[in-house]
Amino acid sequence: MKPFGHAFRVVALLALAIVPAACGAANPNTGASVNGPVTLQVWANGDEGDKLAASQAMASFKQANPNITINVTPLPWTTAHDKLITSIAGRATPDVAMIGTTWMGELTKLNAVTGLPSSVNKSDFFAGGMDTASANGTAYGLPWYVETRVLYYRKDLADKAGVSAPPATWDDLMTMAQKLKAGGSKYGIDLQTNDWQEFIPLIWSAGGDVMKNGKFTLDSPEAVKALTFYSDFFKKGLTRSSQPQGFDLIQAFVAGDDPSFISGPWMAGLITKAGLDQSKWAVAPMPKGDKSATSFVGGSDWVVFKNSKSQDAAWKFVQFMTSKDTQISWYKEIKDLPSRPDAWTDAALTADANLKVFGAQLKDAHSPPNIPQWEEVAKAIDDWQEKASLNKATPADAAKGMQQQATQIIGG
Amino acid sequence: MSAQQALVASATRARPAGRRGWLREALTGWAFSAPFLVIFLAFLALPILASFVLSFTNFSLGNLVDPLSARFIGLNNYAKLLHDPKFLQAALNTTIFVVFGTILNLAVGLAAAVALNRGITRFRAIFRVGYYLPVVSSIVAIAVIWRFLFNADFGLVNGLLHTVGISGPDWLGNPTLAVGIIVALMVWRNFGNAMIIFLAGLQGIPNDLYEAARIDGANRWQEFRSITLPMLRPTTLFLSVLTTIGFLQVFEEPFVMTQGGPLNKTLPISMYVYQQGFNFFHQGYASAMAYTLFVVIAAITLIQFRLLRSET
Repeated sequence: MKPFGHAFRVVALLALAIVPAACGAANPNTGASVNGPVTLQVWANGDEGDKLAASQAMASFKQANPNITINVTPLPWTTAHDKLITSIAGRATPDVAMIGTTWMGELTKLNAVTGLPSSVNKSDFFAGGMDTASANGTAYGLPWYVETRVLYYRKDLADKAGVSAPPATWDDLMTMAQKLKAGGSKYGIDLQTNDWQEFIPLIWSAGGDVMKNGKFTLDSPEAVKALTFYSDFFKKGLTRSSQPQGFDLIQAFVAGDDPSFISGPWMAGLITKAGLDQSKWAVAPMPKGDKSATSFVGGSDWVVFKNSKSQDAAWKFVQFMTSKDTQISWYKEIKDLPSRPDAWTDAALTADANLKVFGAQLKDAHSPPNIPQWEEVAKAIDDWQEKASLNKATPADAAKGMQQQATQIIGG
Repeated sequence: MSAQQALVASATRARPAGRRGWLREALTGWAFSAPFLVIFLAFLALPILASFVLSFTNFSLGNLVDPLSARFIGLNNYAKLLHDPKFLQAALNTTIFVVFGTILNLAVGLAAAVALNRGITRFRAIFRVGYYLPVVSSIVAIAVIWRFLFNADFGLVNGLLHTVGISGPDWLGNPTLAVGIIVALMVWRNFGNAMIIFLAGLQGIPNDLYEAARIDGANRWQEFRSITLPMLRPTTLFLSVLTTIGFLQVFEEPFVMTQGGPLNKTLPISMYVYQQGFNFFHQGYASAMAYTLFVVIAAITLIQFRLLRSET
């Protein structure tokens, strides 16, 4: 035991975070043209980050731009956000970074990223994706890939349980989950106790919203209805009340224990890889609530930092990665969905039946408001959602809790 | 002239006389302590001071790039703490960790020390090293093992329960069980320290006390109650101070096992400080929290030291 060890470490870290910021002088923003050899520091997250450096897309970029060397630093999604913010405070940002779709509010508040060059045509990209790369109506980055969430379910088990068509409405989804469980599966559907990305689309589908005119609307009747519906799956034992660490949803899906779930396009490849034949499972659009069948749009965006000394080269890289050709080749390599509609006309994308569902769902998919405090608001939503799911608060009280906490966060 | 005196004399003779000599000696002294001083000032004193100042400001995400734009808001951060349900939850969690953790840590440490001192005669060194090993092991490695042990689906504990026909719970997913497991991990990881110090204390108890008791016909339990425990009193108090201070700052165990969940039931204050400071970048608020924790630790330590002094 080290007496005072942690307290000291925490305060030391706190101060370390501000000292470099205090010492750093304003960096000149030299927009030097790309003539001499340039090295770009690129931070990329998750699976894409791991694969980027050795990818075909990168090889063709190097071939086209022998003067530009790219150093990719792969980061895990779990730490990427905090590392990026800390790097801004310490003025040690990379030239280019791949960011989550909810971070733009923070980055622009910190005045850390450059605006889009005028040569970029914003209408080349899906509007939903472009929204995630913008804040207060101004675009600062480009969407690299998009993803949206749809319903995955075991077609064979559903047929056996007497569910012949994919669920069209919320009631249908509940019925399907009940029938699947009654038909011998351990659970009916796999939902998380605390995941705002799964919960918020239900608010939109019920006709509500997260924020309206700068004010949260998390305790609206629509939000309460969404939370009631969501937490019912837990109360009826149709989904796991906790997911053990290291829980493998794919294995549980293949085994038939968790015969349905809501997730993004990356799961399709994993299911096939796990050996489940396509005839036994299917994807379906989100079931419809009172008003719509809205899903969540995610993905990632590229941004260029103001501190970068090679902004031209950086934008060149970003524009290359988001060009039509690269998007198609990137889809073939990694299966990330292109963020621009013109890439979707390629045969590689039109041939895939599952992909059609995602393509259709992308037309009705929202992203949360790009406010700087979103990460904190999201944590508050997660906390209250967990309370409602585990029956520690009524949906109405939990919605009220979310609303109060979220309002407090942006107010103070 | 003793050897020491001779050394001192020769050193005095070798030293260049006068003002310059004194200056040179002083400079040499400072040069030698400079590495420590620089590190101490830059990484300890300055941050501690800076965060004290921060705790009276609204320093937040927007001030990261230009720290001087933060405003002083007096004691507002401290007042806000009292109305923050998550902080109060974290304070309650920390109290539970400290109370149960400290008591169990001392009890297990004492039991192990007594066993090693008198009970276990064979392989004593192996047991001593074994009990102490968790103290010096990496928490990350420990977490991997512990998470495997208590995994609901393929964990060793539930596997064993399954063989006797019990279907085990999701240990880390259940709020009450998760708290228990964190306390168990804290105790398992730290009792080796208590054991070593208790062992030293035990070996300081004069053997004739036990001999006298045995002549009077006392059994093992009576010996323990009437001799061992009272004689270990100062050791126990000292250890309770150390353990309390350590456990008030518990961070690693819940961080690697549960990340504070489920339902924030295993979220200690220091982890909430981390969340506020480095996930949400409310560094003013986080500093106020860190200082509150510091004051609580200082107060508890002071009380325990008073007790220590009056009891010995």
